[in-house]
Amino acid sequence: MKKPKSKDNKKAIKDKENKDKKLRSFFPGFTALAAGYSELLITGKKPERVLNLAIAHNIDVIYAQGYNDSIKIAVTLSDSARIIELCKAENMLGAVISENKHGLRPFFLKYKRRIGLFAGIIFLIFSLYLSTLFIWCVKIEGNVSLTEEQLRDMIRKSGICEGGLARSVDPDAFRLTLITEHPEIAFAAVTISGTTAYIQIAERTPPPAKRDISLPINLVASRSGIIRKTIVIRGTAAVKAGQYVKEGELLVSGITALKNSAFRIVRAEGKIYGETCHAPEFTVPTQADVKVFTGREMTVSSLDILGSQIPLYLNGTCSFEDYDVMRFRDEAFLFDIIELPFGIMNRVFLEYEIKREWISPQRAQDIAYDLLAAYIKNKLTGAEIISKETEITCSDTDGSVTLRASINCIEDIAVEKEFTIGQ
Amino acid sequence: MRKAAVIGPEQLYDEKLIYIHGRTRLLMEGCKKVVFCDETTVKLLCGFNVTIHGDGLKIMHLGNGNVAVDGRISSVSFSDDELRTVRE
Repeated sequence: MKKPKSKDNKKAIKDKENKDKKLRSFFPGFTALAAGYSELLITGKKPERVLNLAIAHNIDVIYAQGYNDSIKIAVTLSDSARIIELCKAENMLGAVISENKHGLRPFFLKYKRRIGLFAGIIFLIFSLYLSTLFIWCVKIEGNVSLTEEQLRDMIRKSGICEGGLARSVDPDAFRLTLITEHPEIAFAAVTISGTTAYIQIAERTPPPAKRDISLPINLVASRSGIIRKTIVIRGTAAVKAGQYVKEGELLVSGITALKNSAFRIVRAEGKIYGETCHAPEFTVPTQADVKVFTGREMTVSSLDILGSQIPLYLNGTCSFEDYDVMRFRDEAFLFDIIELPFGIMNRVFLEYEIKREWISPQRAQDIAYDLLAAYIKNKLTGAEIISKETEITCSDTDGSVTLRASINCIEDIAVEKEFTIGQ
Repeated sequence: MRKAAVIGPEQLYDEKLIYIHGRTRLLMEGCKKVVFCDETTVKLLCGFNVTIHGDGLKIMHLGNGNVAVDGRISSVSFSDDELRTVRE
């Protein structure tokens, strides 16, 4: 483990001490803050004398800090005048060089004639309180097939929408209503945190469709090949091992003969393994048009209020010819807790150019082999590959690389095909 | 075996109580005078001298003879020489 450098360590300790100092800085307490207090800076010879005056006259000092030739003390507003008088009486005239009043009371006394200011403060506090009664943001999680718009329409009926009353939401009633009215939802829960409603949804997984075995269905060959193995679960086998079949030829019939020349129609079922040949061909061009970002970008901001956008600048369009757009939404929070119903939507336009790029024949060959591997993985899932031959050719005209493959494998070639009586 | 010192109630009432909370706060009762006060040294008088050395020292409360000193305290020393001050 790397040992931290002593220099860094010292710096960290110093930073922590400075932080602690800031935290321990003068905070006179809520009572003093509400009642108001006066901060006096006293200078001169032996400024500590003012503290002794305070002790002698039973004056409470909220805090005091001494410097070289001065001292800063905080006392209540009523004691402030007494201290100044005492300083004068004790021949400390001119010692008090500054007096600053802090707290709510001095503030209100200072602005006591400004009715509009106080009305504004009261209105602000009332508005803040009122705003917390409403849902300002709805966040939905857990939806897979259902879109957010569909879910918003569903939950709007339960009163959960932007602007709805938070107190009127009954989580149990909401859950029951949503589940009973919408069978595609298996679970729903709502949590209201501050002014945000969090909706958790779990969609119902549909059960596998029931197979109707009475349907008239044959099994036919999906590809031409030689039959190697037959497993017939229901129906009558129409082919044998070693037999060659063409694409679309009947493998298992859905008509089962009974005694007395009667027959029964069933849904043929089984697996018919045949040896087939796949011949995929992949052509990879050695030149291609690719998107190259120029590095130039442009950000256009707009105010997003309850889903509607208001451009913040007049030039709200992009001057680039070809560009990609990225969207970021900066949420607005009140006191870092309450999410506000508006935010800044930033659209970043990234300019790009279409450039023609060349790739080496070796790289094109690698891409062709990757395409072949993807073909085997996707198309021949569950197949047993017997042999695989590949051939690479390079075009003289455009330089493109072509990979031709011949794959022999044993796979299930039976596919269902419905038939009608009398066909 | 040494006997533990026992302080009687009379002695206890005469003594000035001093509480030191960690290295950040000192509370003292019966303070008669603040002899000296700056960011690194606070000297108090309560029948004897109490000198507090440290960093960022400040008096957070002073009233009724009670005093609270906050800051990063590095040492606290006691002396009986009431007349001497740090400035001298």
